[in-house]
Amino acid sequence: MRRGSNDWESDMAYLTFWQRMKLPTYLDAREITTGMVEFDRDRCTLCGICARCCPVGSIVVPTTRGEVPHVASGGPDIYLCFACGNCVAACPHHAATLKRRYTTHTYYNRLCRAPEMTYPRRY
Amino acid sequence: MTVGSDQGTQGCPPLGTYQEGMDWNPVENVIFHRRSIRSYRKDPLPPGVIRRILEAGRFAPSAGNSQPWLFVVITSPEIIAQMERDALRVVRTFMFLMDYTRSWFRRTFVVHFTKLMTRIFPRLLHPVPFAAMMQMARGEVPVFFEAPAMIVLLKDRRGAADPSLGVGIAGQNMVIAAHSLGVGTCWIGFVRLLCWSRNWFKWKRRLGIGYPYELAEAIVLGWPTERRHGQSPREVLEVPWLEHGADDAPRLERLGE
Repeated sequence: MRRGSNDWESDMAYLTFWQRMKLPTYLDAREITTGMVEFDRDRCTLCGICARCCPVGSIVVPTTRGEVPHVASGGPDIYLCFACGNCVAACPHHAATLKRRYTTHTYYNRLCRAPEMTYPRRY
Repeated sequence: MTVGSDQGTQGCPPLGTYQEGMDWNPVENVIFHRRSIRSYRKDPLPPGVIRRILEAGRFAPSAGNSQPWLFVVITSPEIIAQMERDALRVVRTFMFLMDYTRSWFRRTFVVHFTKLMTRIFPRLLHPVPFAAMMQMARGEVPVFFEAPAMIVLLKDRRGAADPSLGVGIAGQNMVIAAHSLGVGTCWIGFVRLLCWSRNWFKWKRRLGIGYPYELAEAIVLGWPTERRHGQSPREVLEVPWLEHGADDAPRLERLGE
């Protein structure tokens, strides 16, 4: 398979011609992997800090106890979340966890990255 | 004027000796805990704090020490509200023309126009700012987050090498300094929406934009409504290390794993 400019790059670090040409609509989970935030039912106190610091204002905080906030959805498996991690950092009770990184599968695909997400490590 | 070389040497680098696995030093702490703040208290920032933050930008490194920036401070709530109104008007116009998600009609017909515009402005219509503009047009998020102060960064186009980069470095210096003082900041690239506003010539005059200055970015500042800083996870980064012979392939290291 043809690779990028370097022979050591992984397959992930190369966009095929069609990946570069195709401009999809981002309404389909096959075209985009959005971020995903999960809230811990036991820890969440419905304080609403996560909703106030979300850059796209997409976290919906319920008013009734026993429910947890959720991220607004734009279709099946599409959330209005680009995995910035603001809610995770701001949550005083550590109830929010980032489950997925954000990437699009064509054209805007980010290269040379690994899907795992980690906290700053003390080297 | 004071002679600067020997004043305040306490806390100057190096901040300790490097040992493997050592705790974060104060500077690293500020870097790793800084988050963009998007809700501010109403009370104004003292001018002294703003001056202190600007000072960090004044001493930023730049190509050839050309300092290709101009900082415009806006603390007038009236002007910020006007900017917000004009920017929102532009967003609503854009989304009227380009938001293809709202209806069957738009998903079938408007989407072609959106794709054409995305080819022309691929970075401005990246899915993330596009989704942010959709949310702004729906009134879910404001543009300037009702901040009490704003620093507009203008770029001097005569600067050496890449003036935009210089503006970015100065801005990041200010953002880090602000966070260390407890002031919340957020980069607002959407300030460039004003370029499409019908009041653009008014804003050009107000902000002093004209040769050689160009509108580059804006940073909004204010006291955060509550404690917001904290660490968040980031993707593991694949870093090639070229450390052996000239013909050897680099060793790929997964940073952060």
